[in-house]
Amino acid sequence: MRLLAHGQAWLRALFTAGRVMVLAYVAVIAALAWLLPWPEGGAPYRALRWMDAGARLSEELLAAPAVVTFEDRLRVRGERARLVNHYLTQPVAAGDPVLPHHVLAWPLLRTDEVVPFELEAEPNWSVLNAGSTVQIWVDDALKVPAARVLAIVPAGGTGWQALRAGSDVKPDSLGTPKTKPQLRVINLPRPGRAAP
Amino acid sequence: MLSTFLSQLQGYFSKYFVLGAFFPMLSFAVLNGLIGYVALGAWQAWVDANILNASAGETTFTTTALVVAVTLMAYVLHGLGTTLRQVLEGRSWGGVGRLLIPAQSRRREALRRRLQAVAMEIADLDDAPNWQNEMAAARDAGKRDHPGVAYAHPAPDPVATALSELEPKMLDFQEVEADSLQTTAQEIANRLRTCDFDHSPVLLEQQQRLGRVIAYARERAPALHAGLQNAMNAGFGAQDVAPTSMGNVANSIQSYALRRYHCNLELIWSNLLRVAQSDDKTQAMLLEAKTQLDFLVACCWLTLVSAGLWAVVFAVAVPSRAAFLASALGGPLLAWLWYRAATEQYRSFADVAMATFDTLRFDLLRAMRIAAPADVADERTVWENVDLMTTFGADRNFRYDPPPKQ
Repeated sequence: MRLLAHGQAWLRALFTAGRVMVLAYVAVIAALAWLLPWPEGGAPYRALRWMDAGARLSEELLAAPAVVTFEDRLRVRGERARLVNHYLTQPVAAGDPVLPHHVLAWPLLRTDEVVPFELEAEPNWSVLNAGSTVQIWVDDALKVPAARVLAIVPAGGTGWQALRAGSDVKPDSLGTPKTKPQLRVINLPRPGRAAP
Repeated sequence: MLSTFLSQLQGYFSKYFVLGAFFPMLSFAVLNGLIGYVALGAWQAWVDANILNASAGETTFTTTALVVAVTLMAYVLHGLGTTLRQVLEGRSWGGVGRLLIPAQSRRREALRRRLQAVAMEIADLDDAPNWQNEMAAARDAGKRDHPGVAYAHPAPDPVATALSELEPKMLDFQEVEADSLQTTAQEIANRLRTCDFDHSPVLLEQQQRLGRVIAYARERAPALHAGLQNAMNAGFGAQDVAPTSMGNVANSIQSYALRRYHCNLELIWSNLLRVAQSDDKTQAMLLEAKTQLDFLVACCWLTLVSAGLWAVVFAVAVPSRAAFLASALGGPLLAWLWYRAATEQYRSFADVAMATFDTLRFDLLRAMRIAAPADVADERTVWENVDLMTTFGADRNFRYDPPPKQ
């Protein structure tokens, strides 16, 4: 009996009204956290159009995911920084997810011979990017009727260089160092279109 | 800009308002603004458009409007300060308050029992000189009746065992029970009677070791008693038990005045504050303590309100289970820490309030034109009469000192 009385006193001291209220509150919050219909977030950035491997990603080429959850807000900002200004390692179809592991800081060039072509300013990435087909003109003469761009990379300061496969361009196609060749886009990047 | 604004703010409001209400409100506004910037797209867009990416004029206008809004909210918070503090003290809690009182009562009862036990120990330890005398007398009797006889210690030796239990308690500053000391002293006295202590060095050493433990116990018990009594006086009032710790600390101020002066402090508190205004240092000390208390109480409530709002936001607007749990559980936990800090600060404030009353009570009587009492008993009668007259309208008379001019 004495042990029982001690036990009761101990329980009364342990489970005070305040502690019971705190436990009840925690239980309610835990139940809400468990039962509320928490929406699934985690939608990725998606490609707005087909892009070839080596394409440099910019804001206009990516469709931002719908921010549904708080985690989305925290994730999307970091993910955007990991995608924009990076290069695709594989072609991506329109609407496909573009994930951080699909990109690298520098393009993967799958050909041994690459011919750089100097650009005067940052290109419009929707038009001139990896997979675009271009012509090269020197002094009003068409030197290269169609060449496929492999990638466009920064070339110090504000300069840019379009990289093309060496097989598309003959040694004299760009004229002498004094000449100023011009680039003209004739086809936007699209799937299955190889350089003629 | 902020420093200029604060200087201007102090011109209109006291520094106690700035510290006790404006700073907490500003801090929480900024903190909530930052969380909102991360969590809410609409708020982020608004901040970007109107502050971060706006022209200098627009930024100034928006920032000024926000600071004015914060000032207004701080003023409301300042006005609600007493109410918010009283809620933390457990006033107006109705049935919930009654549910919480038993725990506080048990806490007080445990303290009271401990106090009583230590008082009993002190009373028992008051007999220690008799134990010492008995051992001394036994020593003399043993030498006289059994000259040259050495004491043969049994194995195991109960006295050695008892000392090996008592001495570590002394070294660890733990409580030593008077009963154990008395029993051991009695046993040593019995042994001393049967031998010549000059030929029993181990027994003599045991007596000396016990003497050191007894001295320690006699020194420690009153200190422990004083500490417990202080905890009781500072933590609880003599009147009803409040539902919260803070409420009981608040009660202790009134109890102190009643216990020491038989004065109903609540009744004359406003008059005391008016008298305190004549003494800059006392007033500053009182207001500093009050401001720190207001600051902590404000932080407690602002944390609770912010956590509640964010819990709703994270449940509905930008759903996140983790953020919801963090705000719904972490917020109240943080508020509880603020509350604990506020309760401790309340003790400091209570100390200052009591010291203020100790120092200024005669000035208060003088301000009330009541003649200064001659002694403690007279003073208690005066305060009792003031209470009876003011509270119950009892028929009590005071001679004005100095008398009013005709």
